[in-house]
Formats: sequence, C-alpha cells, structure tokens
Amino acid sequence: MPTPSVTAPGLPTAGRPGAAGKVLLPLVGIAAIGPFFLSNPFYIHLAILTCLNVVPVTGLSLIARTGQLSFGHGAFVGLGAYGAVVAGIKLGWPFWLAAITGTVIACLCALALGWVILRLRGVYFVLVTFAFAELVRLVMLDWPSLTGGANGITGIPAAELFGFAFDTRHRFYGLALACAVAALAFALRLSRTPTGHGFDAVEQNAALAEASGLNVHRIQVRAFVLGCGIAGFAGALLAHYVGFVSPESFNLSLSISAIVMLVIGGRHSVWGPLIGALILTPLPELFRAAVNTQHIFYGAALILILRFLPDGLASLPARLRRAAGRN
Amino acid sequence: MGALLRVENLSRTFGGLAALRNLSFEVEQGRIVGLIGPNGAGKTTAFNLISGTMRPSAGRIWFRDVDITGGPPSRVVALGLARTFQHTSIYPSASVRDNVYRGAIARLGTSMFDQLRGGAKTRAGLARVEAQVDEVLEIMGLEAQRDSLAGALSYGQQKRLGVAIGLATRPSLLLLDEPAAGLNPEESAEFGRLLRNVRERLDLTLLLVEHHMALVMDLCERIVVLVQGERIAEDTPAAISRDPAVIEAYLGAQEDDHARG
Amino acid sequence: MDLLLLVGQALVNGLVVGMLYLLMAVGFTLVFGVMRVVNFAHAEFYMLGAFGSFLLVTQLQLPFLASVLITFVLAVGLGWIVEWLVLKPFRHDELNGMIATIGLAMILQNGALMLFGPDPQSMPAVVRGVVFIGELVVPNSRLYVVVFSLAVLAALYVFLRYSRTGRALRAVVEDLEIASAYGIRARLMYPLGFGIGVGLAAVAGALMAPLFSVSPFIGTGPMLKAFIVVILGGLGSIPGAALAGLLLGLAESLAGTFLSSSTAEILIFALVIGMLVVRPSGLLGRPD
Repeated sequence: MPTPSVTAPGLPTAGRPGAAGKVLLPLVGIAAIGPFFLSNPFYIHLAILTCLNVVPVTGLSLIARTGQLSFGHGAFVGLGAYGAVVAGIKLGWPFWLAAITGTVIACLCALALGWVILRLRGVYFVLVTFAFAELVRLVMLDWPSLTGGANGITGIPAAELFGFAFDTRHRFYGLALACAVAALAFALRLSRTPTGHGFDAVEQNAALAEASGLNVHRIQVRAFVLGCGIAGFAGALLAHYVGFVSPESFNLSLSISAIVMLVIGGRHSVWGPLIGALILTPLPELFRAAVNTQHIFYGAALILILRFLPDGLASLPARLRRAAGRN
Repeated sequence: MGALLRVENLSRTFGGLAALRNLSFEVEQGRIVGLIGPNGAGKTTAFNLISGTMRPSAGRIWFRDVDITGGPPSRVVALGLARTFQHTSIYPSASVRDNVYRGAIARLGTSMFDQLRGGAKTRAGLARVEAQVDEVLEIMGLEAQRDSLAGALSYGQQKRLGVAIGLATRPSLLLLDEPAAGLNPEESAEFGRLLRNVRERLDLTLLLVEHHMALVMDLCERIVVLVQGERIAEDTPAAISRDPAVIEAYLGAQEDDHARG
Repeated sequence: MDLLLLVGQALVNGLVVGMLYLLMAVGFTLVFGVMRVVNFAHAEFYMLGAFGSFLLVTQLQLPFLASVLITFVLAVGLGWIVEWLVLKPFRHDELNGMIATIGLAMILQNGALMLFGPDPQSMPAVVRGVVFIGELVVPNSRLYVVVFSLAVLAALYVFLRYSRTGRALRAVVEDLEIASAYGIRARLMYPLGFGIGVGLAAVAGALMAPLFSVSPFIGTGPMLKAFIVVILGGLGSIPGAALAGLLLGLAESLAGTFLSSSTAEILIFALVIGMLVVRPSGLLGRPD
C-alpha cells in the first residue's frame, strides 16, 4: 500500500513518527502500562480520564481535517451517553449494544445536522454547531421522562462484556486504554487511505479538490458523521465509568475543552489529540487549588500556540528540525 | 458524437451586470482552442460555467453529448472535463507527488471501508493510480521534484504542477486558465511545447484562456475572441490576427497595455 | 381585555430584553464586520461592563448615568489595547482568530473570578417606582434601560452616519477592499471597531446590572442570544442585527408568556437552525 512521501524536509507527515516520536512513543507506551501497577485510585482515575479524552478529541480532529470546526462536540458526547444509558436502563440492552446505540444516535444526528449545515461558510457552521449544542442541552433538560431532566440519570451499571464487568478502576482503565488506542489507530489508518487524503485536500484547497472531482460536501459530511460518532462512543464509555449523566455534564465547556486540547495538541497531526489530552487532562486535577490561575494559563497558552505554533505541539519536532536545518 | 464540447447561448449576469451574453462555440476532439479577450471579457466566468462551479443564467453546455449545465464539478470531472486555476492552483503544504495523487483519487471508486481494510480492489486501484501519477509527473517534467514541498517550487514549476493535477483526473478535455501567466517569453514557449506534447501523449483536447498572444497564436488551432461578454470572432489564428474588429477591440488594446508596460 | 394586557406587558418586557440583545448583537456584528472574527470573548466584556457600573456606583458612589458612560469609555479603551496587543496577528484569520478569542474569554472570565469571586452580587436599585402606560406597568428601572439604550444607539447612528471616522468604519464593515482602495487606514479601524464593538457589550452589561445580579458568569446567556440575533439578522449587517435583536426579545417575551420558557427557548433555537438552512444570509445580510 503506497504511503505518502515523507522525505520532504519539514513536511507534515501523515502520522509516521519522526526522530522525536521514536523516542517519545515508547515512553508513552510505558506510561500507558504504568497505571495497571499503581494502587492510588486518583492516578488511575487521571489515566482513565486521559484515555477517555483522547477518543472524542480524535473525533474532533477528523472534522477539523476537512476544514470545519465544531463547537458542539460536547453535545454529541452527550447524545451518545444518553443514548447508551437509555438503551441500557430503559430497554435493558447489554453494554456493547447500548454503546453501539449511543454511537448510532450520535451519527444519525450528525448526518441530519451536517448534511444541512456543512454547505454553510465556516463561520456560520461554527455558530450553528454552537446553537445546536445549546438546543440539545435544553431538550435534555426538558424531557424528564426520558432523560431525567436536570437531575439526569444515576445508578448506571458498570460496563460489561461477555460477563466480564469493568467495575474496578484497573479493569476500566484497560477498556479505556484499548478504546483510546483503537481511536488513534483508526485515525492513523484513515489518514493514509485515499479517503484521508481527500480530507486533507478539502482542508487545504477546497476549490481545487472540487475541481479534481472530489465531492467536497460529501467528504465534509462523512468526516462530521465519523467525528461525531466517535464522540458519541466516548460518551457511552464515560457514562458507564462515572455512573451518572446530566445535561450539565455535556455543556459548552466540554466542547470548548475539546477544541483547546485539539488546538494545543495539534490540529493536523494524528497525535495531536493524544498530546492535547495528555497535557490538559491531568493538569486541572493536579492543580485543583489554583483553578482560576490555571484557566488563565490555558487561555494564554492557547493564544500563544495559535500565534507561534498554529499546528500545535505536534508540529514542534518538525519545526525544530527545520530551524536546525537552516543553521 | 459531434464536437467534444458544445456551448450554446451561455449567459451569466451578476446583479445587473451581464458578464457573459449568448456565448456559443464548439471544441472539436483533439484540438487546441484558445479563448482570448481583454480583462473582464468574461473568460474566467465562461470557465466557471463550463466546469460546473457556477450555474449559468441561461444557455446549455454539452460535453460528449451529455448535458453538463450546472455541474456539480465532481460530476463534470467524472465525465472527463477538468480545469486548472490561475491562482491558488496547488496544495502548497503537500509534496509534489501528493498534489498529483490528490488529483487522481477521485476516480479510484472504492469505498472507505474497502480502503480501511486494504482490500484487493483498493490495492489494485492504487497501483493503477501510482502508475498514472508517475506518468503525469514525467510528462510535466516534475519527477525530480517529486518529494519536494509544492510551496517551495519555483513559479514556473508550480504552474506545471497545477496542470499536472488537472491531468491526474484523466480528462478528455482540459480547461487551462492562463497557464502561462507570469512566464517570460522563453518559458512560455517551453510551456507551449509541453502542452503540445501532453496533447499527443494523452490524446487530449485543450481549451485555454491566455493573454500571451505569442503562445496563443503559436499553439492554438482555433481561437474564440470574447469582448465584454460577447463572442466577436471565432476562427484560425491567422484569420483572427487580420480581423479588424478583433484588432480594434483587443489586439490594439494589447499593444497599448504593452506600451504602457 | 386581559389577553391584550398580557400581550402588552409581554411586549414591554420584551422591549427591554430586545434592547439588550440589540446592543450585544450590534457590537458583535461590528467586530465581525471589521475583523472577520467571531468574538467569543464578547460575553466577558458584557460581564466586565456590569462589574464596571456596579463598582462605580457602589464603591465610588457615582451617579448611574455617569457610571455607564465611564464604563463605556473604559471598555473601548480596554478593547483597543486588547485588539492591538493580542488579536493583531489574527486579523482576517477567521478560524484562528475565533479560537484566540476563546483564549481571551478564558483569561477575562477567570481574571474576574479571581478578583470578584463566583458569588452573584446585586446592585442596589438606581431608581425606584413605576410608570403607568394605560394599564401597563413599567418599572422605572426598565424604562431607564430602554431610554439609555436608545440614546446610545442614537449616538452610534450619528457617529456611523455623519462623522468621518464613523463612515470609514462603516465602509470597512461593508467592504474592506473597496475601503482600502479609498485610502481608509485599516490599521486604525481594527482597534476602533473592536473597541466600540465590545464597548457596546459593556454598555449593555452596565445598563443591566441593576436589573439582574452581577457575577463572572452572567455573560454567557446574552452572548448566546447575540449569536442567534446575528445569525437571524445576517453577519455583517448592522441594521439586520438591530432588527433581529428587537424581534428576538419580543418573540421570546411573548412565547415565554404563553409557553413554558424552556419550550420557548427550544422553539427559538430550532427556528434559528431552520433559518440558517433556508436563508443563510439572514434577514438583511449579504449572501456571500
């Protein structure tokens, strides 16, 4: 299977790790196995949250790879969560089926919304996804018979597969880790397929892509449905870890933190979501005391990254290489 | 089949302004046809209408006797009609090879699922695409720059890359929007030779918009002249260069432009 | 007769809210028109405006009107500095500029949280009593809001219509390329446009402070409504934003009177999404 050229200096590689990556990835691998041997529940909890963040942010990166930015990603996490929970509790379906249900619901909503709004210019798309997220939150609040209203739904049972219950943190971490790895592997694989190349073409020059025979609208809808579906799946997982869902769990701040993680990690790299989640998930928990200062840091970091490293931290190795090459 | 491309009474207005009025002409298979006219004559608008990027206000467009009026561009390309752009005609942050590759993948025709699992259909299709990309790079003289960043190429090389991306879609008819813009006379003569070579090797038909009169007169077998949205002449280069209406409306204006520098 | 009264009362309340939305939306559209940036920090300037008038009245014992004016000037100044220091690299970079304003919003909101704490504070009433229009009851405090908002808008209208700088600003909003061709110094227009835009948000906050409570979180709601107004009225059209703002306030008030408020909100959001589908350029916006 032909792979994209990687020898051009400084060319953003479609996921193949450079020299820095070759050192870091094994480290990340070791770090990933670490939590299995820890006993402090707090650290395992952090590891779980990090893995759970990798998934929806990866989904968001797919959407971003076609040149659109969704400000409603949190709502799709919520749709997947509520869908899975309602299917599991009200219909009594097993976890795997409930998770699929949540994912499918998120996909269908994304298809309906995306088909219609992806024709809009980027700015309008942003505003509509923002409005849509609010709409979803209001509907969740206003439908107590289905969603439990403002109180949400509690007592969600642990995830379970073939009789094996993921009811301890260690066990759930295994599941979360597997899903995070699967999400990244999927994104990596996709980026190397012609479909993935089509995404990049649309992002970099939509007019040229269209003139080359690519149906830009269909490509963007496809990316949107995939990305929101992945978010929905993450929601299903999250619900079965935390044990309860409420409309406020999936509000605007979730959408915004996904965007912040993606931008700081790197919008154009498969590893961006991983880097963003790794850096930004543990920090709020570790610096609980200084929440506000911390958020000011994030805001400043975001602005600085946008200004000086717009392709995120993932582009740092390539940038350094280029600078070194010039000297 | 009659002419490869047939344009009938094409019109397009923007607000109150008529950019194109009742344009009709034909392009025969295997020919190189030029579309010339002063700035604002409606040439790029005509391209936009033919390629399906824009809907005409009136008129029809026939390609291989199929009505392609209104596009969409992806359908038009699938039928074998491709275009290049005057500006922003490449993907600057991708390699040269990837640029051409992206032109070819629309015709791959395998589903995402087949691609994800590396199915046989995809592998066969990609082998085919690889060969096509190699051929296009060789024809356009860009093999040496294969792995270079497209944005780092020289201006002339980028223009060639733009054409290469168009060729990667395997068209029967290629619309070229000012392919020689910004090239000096020597470079543009070279480009002309390249285009003739392309036509031979790929059995192509070419329709180009150009301001480089030397290139147009040398390369094109027929010329259509547009002034203020209307066709004022269509003939061989020799006849066009002698046509008093054309000289007055356009070629004279050309000389003035050159004189003013 | 009761129905008429109900409707009339709803309209009056709606007018007040409509003025608020109008100010937010016009400011937002101004910023977008000049810089092509969706300003996610608009909410925080509303919030800062509320704190501005709150502090000036309670700590410095200044009269309300003076406080509002001073807040406006301070906000314009702050906006100018922020645009120049932080947003300059993102002018006309729609996507990155928008994300940068998210960072800005985080800084402003958490800064306010650190300074003022999260608890809502209420401002003592600046004016008491009510006025009777027929059988309709209009609290004076709300009357103030309407009157002052109208005054601000009138001043803005005069500025945009009759002053050279104002006309230049309008030209830039309508078409930057043509404006530059006429020699309008865009470098001045960006901080000015941003400053006035967020200044309007601050005025809205300052005017509303006596009516609602004041906390670092009050900006999100009005900003969301501003987004809707701007969608409905068309991004880049100041009259469109004004008209849509008013209509939204009235519609919300009427709907809220006869339906539950959450149902009303859902309907409005659905309407907005529908509107975007059918007519993306909004009521008066340019299709582009």
